[in-house]
Amino acid sequence: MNHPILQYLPSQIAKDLGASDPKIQEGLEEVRLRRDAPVCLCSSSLQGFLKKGGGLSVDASTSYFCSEKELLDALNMVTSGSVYALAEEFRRGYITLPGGHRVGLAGRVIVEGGHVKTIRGISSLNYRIAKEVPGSGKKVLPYLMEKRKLLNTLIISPPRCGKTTLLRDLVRTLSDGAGVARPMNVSLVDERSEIAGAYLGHPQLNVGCCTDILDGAPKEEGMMMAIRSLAPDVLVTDEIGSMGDGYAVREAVRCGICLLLSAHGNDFEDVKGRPMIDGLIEERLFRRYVVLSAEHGPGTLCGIYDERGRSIC
Amino acid sequence: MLRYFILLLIVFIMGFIGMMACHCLTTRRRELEWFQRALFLLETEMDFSRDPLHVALEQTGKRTGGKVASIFCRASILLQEAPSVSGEQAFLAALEEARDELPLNDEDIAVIKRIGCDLGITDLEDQKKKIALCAKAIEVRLESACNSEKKWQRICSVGGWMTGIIFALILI
Repeated sequence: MNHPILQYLPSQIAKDLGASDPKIQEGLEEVRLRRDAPVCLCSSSLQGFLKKGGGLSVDASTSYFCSEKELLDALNMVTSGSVYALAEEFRRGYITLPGGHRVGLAGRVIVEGGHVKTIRGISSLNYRIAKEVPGSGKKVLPYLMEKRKLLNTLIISPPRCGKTTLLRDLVRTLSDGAGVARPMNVSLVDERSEIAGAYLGHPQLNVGCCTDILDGAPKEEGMMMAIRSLAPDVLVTDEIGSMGDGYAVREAVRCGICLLLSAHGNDFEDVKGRPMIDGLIEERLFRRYVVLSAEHGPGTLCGIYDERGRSIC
Repeated sequence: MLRYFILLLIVFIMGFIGMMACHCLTTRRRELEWFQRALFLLETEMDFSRDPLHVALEQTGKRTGGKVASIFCRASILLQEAPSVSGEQAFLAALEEARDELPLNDEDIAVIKRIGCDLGITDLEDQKKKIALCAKAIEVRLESACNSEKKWQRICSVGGWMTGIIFALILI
């Protein structure tokens, strides 16, 4: 099986991973390379080390160790040998690859003026493999629509429970107009390039034909830019939390823009404990809350709630 | 008659050898100047356009001359052909391919090789420092080349003819 991530891995690691069981490759979500440490493979159902010759192992002693040279080779591949051209990516700590995959960087952080300037001496790379699940939002969307309009919705989920995947599919559906009254102009503020997986500004994942993407924009500024200049029907962003995000959310509601947002949390009560989000909940800015978990795998729908917290699904 | 013709030939051959020696001194200086210019252009490409390395090398090659241009263009091609190859490997390979055609001595080549050191695998600030260091080293070699040219050019051109004439007189 020729997994798309193999071309960005050092040759021996790519060879061993390519020789692994196709089931391991299909379900792969992360590949972690650490200097002089075993190569880690993660998926929703499996976690272990890459075995020498291929396969998964839970015993580090039989696994393939990534050398310093291989880590440098990997860095060379993901940066196309042009680290100097990726100053912003190094400042943010990740690089987006064609296909929407992301490589997280770790190493010695250089700080200037109290802000991260860059990362040097890269000691580990975390490859996060982008996956689309078209249709994942099909079951949820009918509960979020009223009179052909999207109700302001907040998706609540712990990490790695399919929040971004659901958000992406909902954006695509609304933008393409499939299953809704008409295609909608969607403005997507994708601060960490996780939703659209934009590479050089072009979305690598399907977010619909009527979606404008503000890739890499900080959420608050991105939302205000979209409100002022992109005239969206729907404004989407991932993981709101700061007071500035709250200001932008209120501004969008004042302008009559529908919102599709997400926040980290275990459940409805958990997010209520956060001052900014609690304020929005108290004001009844959100009409729908979608709660996810990983109980039966990522994307498990725990419930959909209305503005008063009553379950409607 | 034939004898005088052969003597004249000897004079011209020796004169020609002297001129060739002058030419080598001049082309050595010129190539080092081209390398110096190429470094400046490469730094500018990296700083302002922030294009991938193979594009920066190609643009640098297009805007320089001499054998330097072909080295940078070749390095760009090598990078595009094999994405797993590093900037350093590509540059050194291109330099090695062109080595026989370069009018540079071993010390010059050792300095030029430093252009490839960590090429493309450090951040911009670091890259600029390395380029500046390399440019300084090339400046030293260029100074040496200019001094050699000044010192030996006249000796070589005049000496070649004189040697030829002396040989001819001896043989007469």
